[in-house]
Formats: sequence, C-alpha cells, structure tokens
Amino acid sequence: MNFFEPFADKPAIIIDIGQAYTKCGFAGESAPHAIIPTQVTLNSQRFYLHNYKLLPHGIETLKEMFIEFLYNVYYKILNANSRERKVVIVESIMTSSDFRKTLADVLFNDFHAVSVLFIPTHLACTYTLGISRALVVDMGYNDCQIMPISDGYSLTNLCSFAKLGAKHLHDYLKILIEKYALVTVDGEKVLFSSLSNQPTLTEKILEDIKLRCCFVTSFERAQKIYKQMEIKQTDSFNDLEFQFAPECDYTIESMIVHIPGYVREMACEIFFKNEIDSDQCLQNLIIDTICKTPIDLKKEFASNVVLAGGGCMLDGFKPRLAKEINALIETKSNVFPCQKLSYHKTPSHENYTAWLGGAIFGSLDILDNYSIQNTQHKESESLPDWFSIQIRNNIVQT
Amino acid sequence: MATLIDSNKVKYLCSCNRLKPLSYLYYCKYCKPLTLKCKDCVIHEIDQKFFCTNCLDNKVQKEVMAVKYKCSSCFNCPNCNNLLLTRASSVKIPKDTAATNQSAQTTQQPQKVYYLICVFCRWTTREVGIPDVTSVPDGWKLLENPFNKRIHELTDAYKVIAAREKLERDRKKFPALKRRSLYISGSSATSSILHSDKYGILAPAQKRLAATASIGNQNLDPQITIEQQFKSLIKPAETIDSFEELPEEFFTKGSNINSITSIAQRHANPDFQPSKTNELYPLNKFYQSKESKRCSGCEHNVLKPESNIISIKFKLHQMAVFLVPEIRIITIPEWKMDQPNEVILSVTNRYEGDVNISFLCLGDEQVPNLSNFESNSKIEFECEDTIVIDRQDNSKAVMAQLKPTDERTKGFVCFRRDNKIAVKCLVTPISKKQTDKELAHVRCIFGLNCSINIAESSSPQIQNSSSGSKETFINSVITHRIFVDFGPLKLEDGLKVVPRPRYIDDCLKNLVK
Repeated sequence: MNFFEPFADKPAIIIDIGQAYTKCGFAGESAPHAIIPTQVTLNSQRFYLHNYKLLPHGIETLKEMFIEFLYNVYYKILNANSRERKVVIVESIMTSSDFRKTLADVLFNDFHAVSVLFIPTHLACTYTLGISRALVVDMGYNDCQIMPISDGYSLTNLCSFAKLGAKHLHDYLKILIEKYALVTVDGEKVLFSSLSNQPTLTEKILEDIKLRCCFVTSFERAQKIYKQMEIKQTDSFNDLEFQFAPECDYTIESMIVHIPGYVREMACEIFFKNEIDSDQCLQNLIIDTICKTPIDLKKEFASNVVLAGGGCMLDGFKPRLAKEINALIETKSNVFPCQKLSYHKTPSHENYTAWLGGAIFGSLDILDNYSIQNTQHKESESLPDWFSIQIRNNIVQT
Repeated sequence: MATLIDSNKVKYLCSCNRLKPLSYLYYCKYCKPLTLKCKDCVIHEIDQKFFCTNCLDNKVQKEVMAVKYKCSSCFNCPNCNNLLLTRASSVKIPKDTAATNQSAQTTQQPQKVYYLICVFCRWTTREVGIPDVTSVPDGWKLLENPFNKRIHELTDAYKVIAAREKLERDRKKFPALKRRSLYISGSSATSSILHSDKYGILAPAQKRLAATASIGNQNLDPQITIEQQFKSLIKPAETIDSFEELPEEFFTKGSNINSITSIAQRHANPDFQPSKTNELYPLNKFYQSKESKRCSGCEHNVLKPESNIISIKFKLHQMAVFLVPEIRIITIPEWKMDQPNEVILSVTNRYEGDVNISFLCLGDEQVPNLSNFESNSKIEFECEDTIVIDRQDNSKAVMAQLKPTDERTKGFVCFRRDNKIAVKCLVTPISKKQTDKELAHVRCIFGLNCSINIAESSSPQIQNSSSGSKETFINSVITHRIFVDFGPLKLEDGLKVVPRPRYIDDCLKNLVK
C-alpha cells in the first residue's frame, strides 16, 4: 500500500516486440506511437533482434542489441525517461527464455525501469474486446499461433502453432518469382531464371511485392484452379486455361519484372493448402484446436474467434479463411458442434491488436500488483516464467 | 583516404568494457581516476522542455502529453517523410451567397486558400482530395481514430473492475487489522493520526480514497461477481459470421502498384494505415527534446545542452575528444605474414595544454572487452620514451618540423606539426592466431600513457580579483587501451596499399639543425 505514487500521472510504456515489427507507445492511447522494424544496426549492418542465435557470441550480442534498440525506442521515438516509467512488454508465451531473461535484465539493470510486466499476446487481444473466453489466432512473421484463452489463462496445453508466417510466404513468393516471372530486357520479355545477373530478392523487396501485388484469391476461384490442376495432373500454373488476374509490373534495381497473375493469386495458397502434409494448413489447425478443447468450452470458443496479427491484413484473407473453415466443418459435421464459427472485430488494425490490449491493461491501477518491481527483481534469482512454479514461503505460486 | 579517417578503425576502451571510437566517448572528471564513459553506460535524461523542430513551439511535458506529442501546425509528407510547406493561392468566391436573382450583380472577392506541398516529391494535399484551407491555424486537423469511443468505453469499464479488485486485494492483505475508519469522524477526530497530519499523509491518503471510494465502493456486494459487474457496465463485443469478399476488380482489372502504399507509409500513421495512396493524410511532426547525460558512477553531469532551444551549444561539454589524444592510421602496407610491416600512426592532441605520451606494448595480453575483439597481430614501438605533443596554437602558422627531442628517437617520430605527430610502428600479423580465413583482419591492441596537467580550482572564483581563482595544476597519468583494426589481411576489391604521404618525407628533410 503506497500512498506516494510519483509516477501516477506518467503513463506506462507499452512495447510489443514482434518478430518483424515492434509496436511501441503509451498506456491509455488508442494506437501505438510508432511501428518500427525489430532491427538494430551493428557494425554497419542491420540485424533482426530475433536472429541473435545466428551471430557469434549470441547472448552477449543480444544484450548489446537490446540496449541499442531500447535506447532508440525510449529516447528517439517515445521521448521518455526510462527511470520514471513502468513498462509493459507484450510477448508471446512461446518466446525463448533466453530472450525474455535478457530483456528483463536489460530493462532493470541498464534502463532502471520502475516495474516490468510481461503480458501474453493472446491474452492481451481479449482485453480489446472485453470477453473472457476466446480462441485467438495470431498470424505473425515467423509462425502462426493459435491459443485458446479462458478466464485470464492461456490454455497452453491446447495451443497449436504452424510455420505459416510471413517469412514462409516470402520464401514461397521468391520461388514462384524465380520460376515464372518475366523481365523486360532490351524490349524483350525473358524468363527471370534465364537472366545472368539476377537481382537479389531481399526480404524487403519481397515484402513490398507481397503488399502491392499479391492477394488471397476467393474460395470459389481456388476450388476451380485446384480442380483443373488435378485434371491435368500438373504442378505448374501456366498450363491451366484459367483466367487469372492480370499481371503486375514491379521495378527492381531499374529492371521491370512482370509478375504474372497466377503468382499474384497463388502465392498466399501456402496458408490454405499444403502439398506435403494436408493437415498443416490454417483451417485444419483451427478446427483441430477447437476439437481438442474440453467439451464445455467448445461452443464458446467456436463463437469467439479473434483474428490478430499482421498476416490477417492481407487482402482477401479473412473471407477466404471463413469459407475454408465452413467447407471443412461440413465434412466434419458429425464431430463438430456448430455450423460455423463467429469472428470478432477488434477496435484496432490487426497488426497492433495485442499492443492495444497491453495499453488497456497498462492504464489500470492494478498494474502494480501484477508487475515485477525493480526491488523484487534484484532479490529473486530467476524471472518467473509462464511454465514455471515457484515455491515461496512454502506456498506454491505461479 | 576517407577510409582511414573512418572512426570504426581505432577504438578506445570505455570504463564499461565496451569499445567505442573516440568521438563517441565522454569523460567524467569527478570520478577518480578520470574515466571514459560511452552512450551505453551513461544515464540519459530527457529535458522537460519539448519543442517542435520546425516551428520551435515550446511546450512542457504535461502539455505535450495532452497533444500526443504532435505539433498542430507542422506536417511531414506521408509519401517521403519530409517537411510540408504551406502554399497559398487565390480563389474567387462570390461574396453574397444569399442573393437570389441577382447573379449578374454578385461581386467576387478574391480569397486566399492554403494547401500543403512537399518540395522533394511534389506531393500535395490536393492530390488526396483534401479541400484547401482558408485559415492556417485551424488548418489540417488531426483525424480522430474511429475506434476511440469503443476503446474508452472498454477502458472505463476495466478501470471500475480494477479498482474493485485492488480494494479486495488490499483488504485481503490486512485481514487482522481492525479497519479503522480513515474518514475523520467527530469523536475520533482527536485520536486519528490523519487528523493531526503529523506525518504529512493526510492529503495523498484522502486523494487516493476519493479516487477509489466513488467507483470501488459502489458495488462491493460480494454476490455480484466481477464478471457480472463488467457485463453490466459494457455492451459485449459483437461477432460476425462472414467477411466481405474481395471486389471483382481484383481479378479483372490490373492494379497500378503506385496507387498502393508501401509498408513504411502505412506504419507512419498507425491509427489509419491507409492502403491506397489516395487516402494518405499529412503527418503531424513530433515534439522533441534535448538530452543531458550523467555519469553512472558519480551522478555528475557529463553533457548538458543549453536551455535555449535554438542554441546548439552546451553548458557542459565533457567530450573525450578534448582530453585524450586521437590516434589515426596514416599508412597501410601490403601485409606479409609473420614479418614486421611498417605502419605510420598519427597522434593529435586536442587538449588545452601539452600532453606527454608514451606507447606501451601489451605483448600477448588480451584485454577483456564486450565486443570480443581479439588481437591477432603484434605491434612494436621502437622507442618507449615519453614524447611531448604541443597544444593547438592558432596564433601562428607552424611549419612541419621535428624537435631536437624527436631526433633522439631515431626515426620513431617522423612528423610533427603544431598539435599532431606521426609515429612509425611495426605490426606483425601472427599466422597462428588467424581464425577466420576469409574475414581475417589485422587487429592489434596497445596502450597509450598520457600525462596531462588538469586544472583543479581549489577555491571558488573571487570577484574583483585580478588573478582569478587559485588554480593548482595536478598532473595525472591515464593509460588508455587502444584497439586498432587495420583492415583485411588480403587487400582485394579495390582496397589498396596506402603509401607514405609526401608531407612526412618533406618533414624529415626539414630537420632542425
């Protein structure tokens, strides 16, 4: 019980460190102050923070990267003194312990944060809606995480995740472009693969192509395409008689690359159809997760699905997902309790839904009761983790 | 030559064991001994005054938080993130709009209308369809996030629940204590601690109670659970069963990629994230403030900017450049393994007095540092005597001339001009220590002993005293560890051997007789 709260009028700082982008801002706001890439410049090169394992001396470099990154966030973007502010970090439960521990160490020791709270991404998404039970689907960069949330607890034994993130979409897009795209050279259109000095398709370029040229095709069209592919027993798209979308011209390093319509439409198909393992696609994962849940919660989860994460913002993604799920439910109608799923619309753009949940929680009075205080961190040996149980004073506490 | 001045080649060891180029280091003179500090081990403090970099509009922290750090009159182009300038044009508007049948007689008044234009990419507000504005101060208002209302409803409902939960927790913490009424009642007024306000806790306690009493105490009926209370406070979120399909145009019409925004353009405006370029809106500039740095050891200020916003000077400017001699590489030879190669380094003194330096060979000793810099070459200095470097003298033009003391070093000091000397060193890359065969850089570590006279004023400045304060000079010797990365062992891809420059040869000819 502290009567004196010198930091009462300074809103807490909310940071959602995603795999590709970090959303940072103040508690009580409706949108983050800034969305910046989770990258740091070290020795004149840009590195993703989450790729610290690829560098030599991984953990120490991670610490240096955090210091550099958080300095940028605090003093260049948010203009806030780190000593006076409480911090809320929105993170996925699946974050590696090393990453989390280093982050907490840096925040407490180097930035002297007043208190730090780690809030799970999926739980935070439910705060934006005011519901206590939901099935949160988070489409991120590295993977897609599907987690049921019930009464403030993330049901981690029922969660599932798939390597179906933006990164995999970019890789597939790269393969497609190298295989099918045409380049205008001296007025002639030649295959991309036949060029002697191919322009390097960096992550940034692929992301731009995905954003501007690609979209998720509709359910009906996809069905027609797959039917034709089956009839003709072919893997390649340009043999089909289907009327694809018109092609798109994209400039890379002063070369005009013509991206054919089928690449535009079919690049995002990795989310909905997997050649190798037909169960590893989004609609199957969502339905399987709901089927795994206890019988009393199944209906509630089915009627409270929340789509979050940047991946959901792809053009045409949501209607396609809804239709694919409906089609799948029809085949499994004897096992599944309801006809269709109901989706929530969050009061935010999907890429910062989790941040908004953190911001709402960060503006409440009880933030102190849940956070780790600076003094507490110094005394305890390890950071309380989502999966660990501490025995304190002979009482088991999570 | 630009690569030699590249500050990433020569780094100094900071007190936190990090390696930084000299220009990135501060020094703290109150720490004994004199320590170097870098950006990562110094405490940063944001100044309380915030200003817009364009219009220099002044605001205090509280005011700035209310405006969300956005300046209302300065804008950035949403296309290229540069400053938007206001342009005016004249438009004729009919003066009397209420006139009915007198169209021939309505007079037209020229009126000034304003629009924004970016000088770099020529983007204007007219392209997006924003109507021209008649008065600039009211200008281009900040658009409100459409979800604001719902978010505020949710936050208010959560605040009620949170207050109730907090009250319940606090009550749980002290179950045994008789809950004494914190309100001042008549009979217990004299005995209540709060009434006498002896310890100054009356005001904050009352404030705190007032905040929670109204909302928390209303529904303390334990029959109504928190969940039920929440549901009564707010309309539940609505669900939808299906989403809007993509319009047919996606599949039939070709899209112009220039009409779609890039990811950076979307992230610049997180509230709206426009996907088409015809939805872009001018972005308000953010308020910024100056930073002052403090030594983490002794809490004294190391860097303090002037409080005047426009001034770029510093009240306190303890940069290591003004204390420690700067070492730069002058020549790079063609490297031969396991043989001494001649390298010339320059030492510049930017301190206000003379500096006596001497070089220190470290041998095989590895200096622990946070960048995992390991030396794989040996550097040798033929002469280990102290060498004097004069302070910078701007009063006369000085010729490059060696002093008599330099001749005794037998060629070690090969150049001297004003506050700069050049020394010849021998670097031997050791083949056993090369780890990465492809990225092998020639790296070495050595020590530099600097002896300077620091003025320490023993008494405060006495007014009307012609001699000023008593200044005693204390000699202090500091050893700096210097880490040099000469570059790749094999000079390829345009990197060339840098030969000895002519000014060194000329200086050697001008020996003082």
